[in-house]
Amino acid sequence: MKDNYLTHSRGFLSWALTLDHKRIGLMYLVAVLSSFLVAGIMALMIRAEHLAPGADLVDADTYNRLMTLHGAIMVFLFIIPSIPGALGNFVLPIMLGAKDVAFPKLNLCSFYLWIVGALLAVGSIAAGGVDGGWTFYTPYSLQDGRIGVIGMTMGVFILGFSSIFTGLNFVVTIHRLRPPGMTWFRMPLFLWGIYATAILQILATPVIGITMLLLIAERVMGIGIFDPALGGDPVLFQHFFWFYSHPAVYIMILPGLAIISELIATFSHKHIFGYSFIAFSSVAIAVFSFLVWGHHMFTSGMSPLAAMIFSALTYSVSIPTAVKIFNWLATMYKGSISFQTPMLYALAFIFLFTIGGLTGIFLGSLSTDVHLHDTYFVVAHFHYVMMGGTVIAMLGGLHYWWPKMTGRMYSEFWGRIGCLLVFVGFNLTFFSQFLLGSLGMPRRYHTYAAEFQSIHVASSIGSFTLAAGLFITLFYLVHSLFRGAIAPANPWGGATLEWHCTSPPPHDNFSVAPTVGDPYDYSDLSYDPATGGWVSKAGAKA
Amino acid sequence: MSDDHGHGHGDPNLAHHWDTMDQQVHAGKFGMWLFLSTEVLLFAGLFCAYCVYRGLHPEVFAEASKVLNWKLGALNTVILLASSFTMAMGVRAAQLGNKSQTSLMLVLTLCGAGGFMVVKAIEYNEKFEHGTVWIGHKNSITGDYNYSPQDKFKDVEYAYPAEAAEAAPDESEHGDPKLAALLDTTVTPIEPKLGGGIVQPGVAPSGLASDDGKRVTTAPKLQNMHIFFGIYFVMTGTHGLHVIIGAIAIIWVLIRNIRGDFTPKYNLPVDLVGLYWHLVDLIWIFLFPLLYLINLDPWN
Amino acid sequence: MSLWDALFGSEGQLPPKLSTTAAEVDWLYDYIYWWCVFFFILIVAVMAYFMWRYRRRPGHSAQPSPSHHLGIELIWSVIPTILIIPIFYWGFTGFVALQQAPADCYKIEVEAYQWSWKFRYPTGANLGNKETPDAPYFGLHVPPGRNVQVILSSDNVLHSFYVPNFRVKNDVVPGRYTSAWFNAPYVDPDSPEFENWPPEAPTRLETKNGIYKVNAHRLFCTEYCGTGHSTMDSWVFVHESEEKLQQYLKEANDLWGKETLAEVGAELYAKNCASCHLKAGQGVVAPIFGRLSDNWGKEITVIDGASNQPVKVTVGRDYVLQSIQDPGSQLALKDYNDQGTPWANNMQQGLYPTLEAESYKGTEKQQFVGKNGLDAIVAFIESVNKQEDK
Repeated sequence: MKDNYLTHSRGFLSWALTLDHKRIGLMYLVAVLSSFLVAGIMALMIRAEHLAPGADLVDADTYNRLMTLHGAIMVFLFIIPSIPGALGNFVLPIMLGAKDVAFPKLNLCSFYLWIVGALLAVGSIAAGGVDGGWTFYTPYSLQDGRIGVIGMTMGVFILGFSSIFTGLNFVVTIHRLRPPGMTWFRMPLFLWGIYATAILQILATPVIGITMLLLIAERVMGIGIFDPALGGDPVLFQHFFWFYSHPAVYIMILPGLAIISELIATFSHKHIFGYSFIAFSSVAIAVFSFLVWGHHMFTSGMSPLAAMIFSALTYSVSIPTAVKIFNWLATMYKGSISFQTPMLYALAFIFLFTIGGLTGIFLGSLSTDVHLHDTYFVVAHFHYVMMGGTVIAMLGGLHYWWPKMTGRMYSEFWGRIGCLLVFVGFNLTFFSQFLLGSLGMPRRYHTYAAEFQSIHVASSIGSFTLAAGLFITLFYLVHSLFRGAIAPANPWGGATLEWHCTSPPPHDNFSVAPTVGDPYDYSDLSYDPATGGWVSKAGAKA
Repeated sequence: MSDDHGHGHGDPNLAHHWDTMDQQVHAGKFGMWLFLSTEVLLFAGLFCAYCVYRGLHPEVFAEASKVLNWKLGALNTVILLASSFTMAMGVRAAQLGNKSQTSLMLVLTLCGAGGFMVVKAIEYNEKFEHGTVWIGHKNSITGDYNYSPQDKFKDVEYAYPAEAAEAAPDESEHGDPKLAALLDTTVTPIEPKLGGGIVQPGVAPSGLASDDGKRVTTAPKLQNMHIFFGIYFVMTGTHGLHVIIGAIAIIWVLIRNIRGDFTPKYNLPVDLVGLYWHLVDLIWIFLFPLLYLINLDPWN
Repeated sequence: MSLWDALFGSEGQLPPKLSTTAAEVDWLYDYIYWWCVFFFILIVAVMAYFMWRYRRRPGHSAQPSPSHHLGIELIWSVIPTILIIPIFYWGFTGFVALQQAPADCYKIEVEAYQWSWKFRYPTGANLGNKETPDAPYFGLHVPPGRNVQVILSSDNVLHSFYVPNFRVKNDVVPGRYTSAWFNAPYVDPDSPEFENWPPEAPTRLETKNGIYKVNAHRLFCTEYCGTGHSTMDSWVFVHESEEKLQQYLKEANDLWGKETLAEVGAELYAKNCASCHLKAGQGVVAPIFGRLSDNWGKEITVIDGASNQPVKVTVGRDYVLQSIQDPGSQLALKDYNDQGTPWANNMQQGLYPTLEAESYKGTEKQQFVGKNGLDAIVAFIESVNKQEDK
């Protein structure tokens, strides 16, 4: 391989003090995947515990801590930073034909804030652990004896700043570093998705910051804002919390949706259908996401009028999301579809996210939500959209950009095996949980009533299958770093700018400035069996 | 070897991924404005909490606000406004390339920051002494009650009505007539507002367990006072933290200015720190009337 | 209920409809379900078809087709919007029906603790959530076919009252009262149309006075509340008739078998309180409640525990109840003879938190005495001096 960003300089400090967005992206990737591993193992322990109704492997306090940490680590350390921090950081400037993000030092700062926040959050385990669910509802989170809450909330506060700075960086980058010729409507849709995400990160995250500060102040000073024993209102905490946490779930899904647009277009070898609608829908989702937080609180004592307004607004968010799915299918129409691993993940996404999205309708409707709220139905719904959605999209994006990032191809055979196991395992794990929830099993339960056991066993078997698929994926990806085939510049035939530079890219991303064209125009590309990649028919290569 | 970016083109302050200085400056300003919007949202949460509780307990806020020293608050407002002015003058001086004037203005702004913190310290100290800090019921961490009943009212006698119950609190003990006025024991009891707030034990919803129709009566202005002070401390404390952060940023810019980093073409850091400082000032402009001026009786 | 049944909507996916409002909820559930099945099959079928029809193969390449079409895009935005509107509307009307209790409800107070429920009935009976040797009567007992409202209150943290079979749920928020209502029919367990969910739900309750046939429905706490969150479940028992219900409750109350509330209170006080709170004389470790009747109805000055300021209170049921349940909240520093008391000295020396741990608040006594017992104790206290002075 020629000199590239990996070989450009060597030594620990060259990574620890790097200002190169590609290296920062790689460090983020390792960081978030490590958190995914830790929280995933906790999930496996939870599923193992649930093989039988009683308290078998762990006691109630341990279970409650596992359940809380699984959620908190997954949400704050993994999913929210994952696609923007790992893939966004790497791909965004190259897709723009730029040399870096707008503020490289701020980018590095974001990463180190993640590290500090993660240490604080995980350190709370040492301080006795936290329970209360990742939502930390008061007054339970204010009760004596759980000092780990302070470590966790400080960690979340710091992680919030990491997220804000990343979002800030991306917004300025997209506004100011677009090359001449790349108007807003000639940007790849991945960037529209990242942009909408970044707006949410900037505007919503400060609210969780202040909520965590107020929670700490309530615990330490007894200010009396959330604790009814001191004259406060516990439902006010829920409002504060969900005002951020609902936009947060869109921070999680918008980048995923954006990746799928890229994958479907590239692997159908056809121009994306309905570009404008997809771009506008990303922004619409971001705007509407601020208006619907109350749908997490329908049974907490809100007035029917407020509940009605939130329910109506919740449905308004569902429409732009549905439109994207139809647009992807229309993209596949009359295309030339190849089924390499990234595309398999994209197709799995459509399947799984459709289920996740449709089940949201049950929860947005007030009377059915009364029955389903705080049951396993909700757990299944959000795992379908967050894991079946975001994580599958992230895996698809990772497989898509892996050759670009590492210069290596992974084994296509094992890629498909991994995807299949993940798909089957995921469905078994979480589809059964819909049934558990509709039958009335509450969530966050350590022990459960005997009538639910058979479904829990099915779900646990699914989770082990899912874990096997994920471990296989990890294994062959790491293996490819040492034994994978050398990757061409454009292994998949993508038309966005990142495929114009070598795999891996040079330190400055492009040795020759790329010419900006339509990011979904594949007419110029043809497959060259000699290199195993796609080349421009005109013969010119960056 | 650190992996730094080459500044191979023109102005040493121009980072390698920008084509022109103009681009870099505008991007920097844009970024700063975005960051300021996050700060606005951070404080918006606190203002929201303020609105909720003031809406629920307007009488508590009105009474408790009297304890705050509005004169010191006004002094702080003037100090911050002046420091915003000197900061703007400093930015102008940097744009004109006048290094010594820039340094002078930055130092004056720092004096303003310092003055603000001194006044704040005086105010806070007053509160600590009067015990209005830990006015909540129970400290969740240590498990202690944050008061000792007899300490505050050592010389006050309380008794059942058969004996003298009209003992007034000893004002000289506290030295704060406003606080003493709040402790006036001859206040006529008023029916407390029901709904949302402290549960009233022994008060059952209508139609259920019988009760003798009597309610616990407490003067409303004395209930939930700690909520006002809790919000006051979190809001002014967070603001004070931002003043300190701003001061550190100003010191850093001052050092860079003395080092000669800035030219009329490149003075972006001064500009950006100035923007931040103006926001810090603006937030105080909102805090001051909402906390200090809501029940002002200027002749007291 | 089998997996096959579960494919067909609410009949297989939800518990049996055992309240009058459940049918309405289930109907909407089915409506949503079948539309979801339709769109899911449509999307996956189209995707699968395109995957096959347009797969990349030699001699076949992507064909040109429009990359946008306003008409189609509008249609597939507008149609889902139109489909959603009735779902939203019926969801809202169903919600209002679930939230607004009718006027003539049989009201039961339900209190949530960490980690149990207490059910207080209008007759004065006071039941816990699990059967124990000391408390053979337990659970939420309701009359059949009648509107029942539960008034929910919490000791200190959030809980949630959830009965899956009724499709009823409401959070229990500390510091306020929330409520839920339902109307549950009774189905004879011996009849063929009876469907028991869960299968092991009890259909009969045996007491020393007889056997009661019931329909049992699971009651769960469904808002995380700590270690015992998953073990504070209970049952809602729908009785055969209102008479049977009253009979059961009378049995439950009969444990005391006394004539007046004050006599009950005297016994409870003797067993649970008297060792520290003497009836007369100088209290050494604790205030004497037994002589409060001297000042019953009068206004006294105490120090409010929350704001630390002196306040006036009227000596009566509320004052006594609050003093028992939250000893620190209203402290009278002198006794009725205006003498400093040894227990007040203890408080000044900071022994207060320790003593609180021994008080009603800090111990298991709450479980034995219960709110109903407190009523009895208050009646007893009020009556003491009146008895002794006569």
